[in-house]
Amino acid sequence: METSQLVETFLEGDQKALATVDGWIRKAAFPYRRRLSDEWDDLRQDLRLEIFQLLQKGKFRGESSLKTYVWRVVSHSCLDRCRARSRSREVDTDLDDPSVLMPPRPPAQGSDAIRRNLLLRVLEEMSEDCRRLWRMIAEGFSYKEMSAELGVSPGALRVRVLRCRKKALEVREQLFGNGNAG
Amino acid sequence: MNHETAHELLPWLLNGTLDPEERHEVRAHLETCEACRRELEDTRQAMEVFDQHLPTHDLVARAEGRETELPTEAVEAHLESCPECVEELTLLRGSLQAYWDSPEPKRSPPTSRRTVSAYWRQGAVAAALVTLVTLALWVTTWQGLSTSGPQMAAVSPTENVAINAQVLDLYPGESVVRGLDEPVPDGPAERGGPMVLLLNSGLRPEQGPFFLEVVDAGGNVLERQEDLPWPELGVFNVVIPEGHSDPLTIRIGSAAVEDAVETYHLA
Repeated sequence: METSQLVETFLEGDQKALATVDGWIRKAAFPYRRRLSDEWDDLRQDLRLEIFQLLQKGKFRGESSLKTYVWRVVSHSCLDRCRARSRSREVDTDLDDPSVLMPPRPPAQGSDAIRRNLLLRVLEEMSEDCRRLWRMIAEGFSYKEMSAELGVSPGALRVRVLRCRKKALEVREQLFGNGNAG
Repeated sequence: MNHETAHELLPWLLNGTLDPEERHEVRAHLETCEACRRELEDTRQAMEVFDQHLPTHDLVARAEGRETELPTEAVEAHLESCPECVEELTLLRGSLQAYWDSPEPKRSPPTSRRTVSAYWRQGAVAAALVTLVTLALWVTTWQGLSTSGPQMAAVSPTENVAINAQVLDLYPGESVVRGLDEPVPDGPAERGGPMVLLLNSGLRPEQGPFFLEVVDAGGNVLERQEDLPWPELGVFNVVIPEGHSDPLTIRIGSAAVEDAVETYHLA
């Protein structure tokens, strides 16, 4: 079946077209089934709806095959969900003050892509030690757990982390400039 | 709490791992100290720097070998030092390969009532017939279970069993409630009759050989088959004999790959 015909029949609710696209969705999402196991059934329904809406809005321009497009949409969506889950474990969601919460991960498009690139460059300037320390913080280690893991005193650990923070902000300021600090 | 201690503890205030007492003290200090609130914002910005990862769409593009929105050198530099992004990229590449390598699925599962579509009907019925011998073994096995535990003994299958069987296809992780699904259009299936489950496995042929086991609600393994080859259509068959009503879990797994296990549920 031609791609345009498949899109058309899918949007019309043709059972064969639905089955074809559903099959692609299932295959593309399958590697994420364990990571997203508790929302597995809903996930595939959501993906079908997302693809339906994208096709309905004409977002699919035929630059790739429809099957490839489905894989991209599904992979993107599943990976974002996995990341959101990981992120939700990293922050203290019990804080009352919304300003304390971490900002959402910005979408990397347009100027956001430039910002993201700059942030990545800041990160590249950081030592492996600093990255490791802050990675552990992001993964939800307490400072006591970190000091035990790294074999340093809690006080020394906290000072090292603070130095890394200062270094990161210095480089960030150099790259972003004062007036465009993100 | 003094400023210095409060500053040092801010990263762990943000990741939510401070002891309740420390957390209370830091927060109380923040309420009265503007300088420390600025430090908190600085800490958030630092956390954002250290929590940078490649955008999802660039990872997807990279997995496909397409051009990324970020400069290639930035992508490669980040991948050299970010195990999380490397892991995600590996997952995407594996997904892409499996997506194109594995055979097309026979059909997609409907959302609630699962019947065998016309498209798949012929294969399903064929599968049911192919499993006649298995069915016969299962009938005997399960009849034996009710009296003296698992036993296998061959009996002669009857055509009647196959004709009355419900044939349902399932995908990994799915559940089906016995007796609530529509019968096979080709056969006069009756509720409570034998069922042939067609398990549309998402495992891959190279992960074989496979095992298949049926576990009851109490976790007892009622049946286990070893060294199964990859089925020709990627569909494993399990026959549930008439009269059995307990919730069951069917597990199919790879004997070679530890985590490659999938489950199906019959309620």
